[in-house]
Amino acid sequence: MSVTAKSLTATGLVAGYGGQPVLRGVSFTAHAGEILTVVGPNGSGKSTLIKTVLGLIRPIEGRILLDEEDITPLSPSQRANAGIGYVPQEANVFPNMTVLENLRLGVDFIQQRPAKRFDRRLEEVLDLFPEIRPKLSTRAGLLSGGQRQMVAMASALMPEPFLLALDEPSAGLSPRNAELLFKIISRIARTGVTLFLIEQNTRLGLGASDTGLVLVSGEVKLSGTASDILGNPAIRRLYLGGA
Amino acid sequence: MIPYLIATLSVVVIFTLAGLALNLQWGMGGLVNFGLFGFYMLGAYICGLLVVRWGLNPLVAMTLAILTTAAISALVSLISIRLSEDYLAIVTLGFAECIRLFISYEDWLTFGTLGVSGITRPFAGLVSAQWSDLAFIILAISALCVVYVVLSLVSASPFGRLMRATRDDPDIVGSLGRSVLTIRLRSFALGGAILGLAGSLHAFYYGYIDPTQFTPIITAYAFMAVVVGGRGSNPGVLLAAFVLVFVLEGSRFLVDYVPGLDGATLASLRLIAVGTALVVLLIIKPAGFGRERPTVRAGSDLKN
Amino acid sequence: MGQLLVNGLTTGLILALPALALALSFSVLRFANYAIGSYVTVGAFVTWWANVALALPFWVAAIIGSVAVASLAVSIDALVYRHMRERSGLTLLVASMGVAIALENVVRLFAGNSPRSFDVPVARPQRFFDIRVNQEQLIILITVLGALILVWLVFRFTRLGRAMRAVADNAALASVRGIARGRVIAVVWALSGGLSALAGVLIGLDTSIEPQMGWNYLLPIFTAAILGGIASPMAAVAGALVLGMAEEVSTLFLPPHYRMIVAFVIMAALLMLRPWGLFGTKWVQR
Repeated sequence: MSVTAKSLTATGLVAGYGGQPVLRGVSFTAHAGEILTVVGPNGSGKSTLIKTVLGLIRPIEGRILLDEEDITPLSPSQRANAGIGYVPQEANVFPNMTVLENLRLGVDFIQQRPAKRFDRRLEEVLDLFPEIRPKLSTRAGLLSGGQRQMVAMASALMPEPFLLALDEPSAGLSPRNAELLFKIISRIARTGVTLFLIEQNTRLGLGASDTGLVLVSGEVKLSGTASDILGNPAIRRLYLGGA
Repeated sequence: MIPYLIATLSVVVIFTLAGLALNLQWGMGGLVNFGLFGFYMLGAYICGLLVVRWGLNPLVAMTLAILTTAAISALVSLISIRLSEDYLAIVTLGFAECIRLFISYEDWLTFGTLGVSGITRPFAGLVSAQWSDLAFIILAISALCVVYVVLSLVSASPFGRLMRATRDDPDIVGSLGRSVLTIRLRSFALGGAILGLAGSLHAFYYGYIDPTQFTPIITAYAFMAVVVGGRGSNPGVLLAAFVLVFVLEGSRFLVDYVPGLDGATLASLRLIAVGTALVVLLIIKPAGFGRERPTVRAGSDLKN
Repeated sequence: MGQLLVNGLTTGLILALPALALALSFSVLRFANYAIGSYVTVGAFVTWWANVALALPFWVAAIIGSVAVASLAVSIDALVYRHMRERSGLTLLVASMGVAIALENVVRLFAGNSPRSFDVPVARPQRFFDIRVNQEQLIILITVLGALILVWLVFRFTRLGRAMRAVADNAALASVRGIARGRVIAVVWALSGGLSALAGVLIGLDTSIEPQMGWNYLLPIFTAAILGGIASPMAAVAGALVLGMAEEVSTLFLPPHYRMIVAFVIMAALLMLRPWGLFGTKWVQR
């Protein structure tokens, strides 16, 4: 199935904002075409991890590989061109621009591969997000939170990235919308994209994932298949409210 | 020599007062006053007109000028006090230009471009004409001392710390239940009072004022003093004002020594230097040469 | 009344260019550039020099003036503002005032203080239904409309235009989408400088030029931009037209030298009542 997806591997990441590192030796692999979700309590280093993957923070130690390629020295925009798409948690659209313009900006300055006509790629992406098709000429700022999230994901997918990184995609969404979102995420994975996400909603996030990673105090507490983690009694007690 | 020294010193004192006023407003309070020269002009005119038109005692006129300039400063700052500081900059600039226009054209009140002449100095009746300059400089220096002490007290007081906290992060101060609006209003008014004083001294010193004496160049020099002296540092600004006036006044003599240099060219060159120096200092030495006295974090004041 | 409208339109059209330029740089950099007046002045004087000293045709001189100020604005950014991007907006504000003082006096140094006019043939004014429209006003109308349409087309339909709007809209996301902020900023400054210079040329065509001119236009430029909502470039154009009309109408009951006061009063009223501008939508501000 996964013809274009690439794997993401991190080895021994130590990173933080000067002084005390937040991440203290984090390693994981997201295999090509699978969904990896990172969960953990607030302050566990989830956001630091996604920022390090995207190149917004330079790690003090450790390497990040996209398949075999070492992307650790690349800048955020170089990583975007290497095939990493990113959907930030907040402010993830250009609010005063139309949905269509938002989607155009997805490929305006990021090399698309394989080079495809804009219209054709647009059709493919809109098939994934049928809800935004009628909104193409609406200003993105006027959409609902769920629709904005879709526009953001759609723009990130426009250049056909190998890997899509999502920062707490379900934050601020209604339970119904969050479920819908994860259905779409599974669909995206099937089109041949590796997904790397960090998530507050442990049950929903892991439920839709292949692999899970539990981060506590900047270290990997637990990793394995998502269903194993969901079944782990300690995790159930800690994050899923007993039972 | 002595008269020349007294003359230069008078300019230094007036100029230092303007610098200290701006240091309070911009340095400590984060309020950019591009219209500084307008408030200064207002102080000079209120004082001068009260003395000449209505024959008020110069000291009374000066007091009224200080109070009025403070009140008008407060009103002007009210226009944009709820908005970000960028707006205050243009509001003050606009106000200053309007004041200058008004004074230039409303002859019935201000004598227009003719100017106000015959402004008597305080204690004119008590000292003979030959000691007048000396009496003036004593008055001016005393005024400067008072202002300096007041500003030092303000700077070290809880209010001073609140001002700095508001400059650095108005949201935090606001969220702790302190009124950012009142803090800004008060600091701007206090700065206005000092500008009113500086303007009054200007009127007394020259005895004659007209609109051409008041230009944005005054604003530029005040900014220069604060940038050189270090934002928030009163001693730094004091020292910077002294040095700057001596350098700028001293450069007048260049005309005599450099062939082909006339007054207009020198004026342009000097302002090019001021503008460039302002920019260069802001880039390479943004904290200035003085230092803002470190105080306890503003948080402790906010609690009580 | 019709005559008043024509004059107001002319004033407004001239103001539209620098107001657009100011709002453009503000929307992308979040900093109000007080040197914009001096860009107007430098543009006018470079054009005058090319037109009178080099005896080039007026329109060639105008292009030289605009290109010169466009490059000047880009260089000033590289020399000054770029080093302050991480500082507070207030520091930039004061720095731009320093730039303004220096530039205005460079002009004074070379050109002296006396007013000058361009070397353009004098033409007889046209009459349309009793309203006198002179050649200069027609040139102003055509030039400004041309420039505005061009900017609008670039904004709306090109990759570069989208990039500028994207950086203005959400700078963090723009960098995620691979937009090089530095390049966009350079283009914005070039555009901002070019438009301001063009305004200086048109002011010279309408009246005359002197080193103080940019300073005198500073308040109306800011007022026009604030009228439009300072972060929305195209709305600044509408703001300029409204202000131009208001200034002209005010001459019915105020002496003409008080136009500046009219601008100030409009700005003050607006800031107290509708700080997001007449046409802008409400945006978050401190």
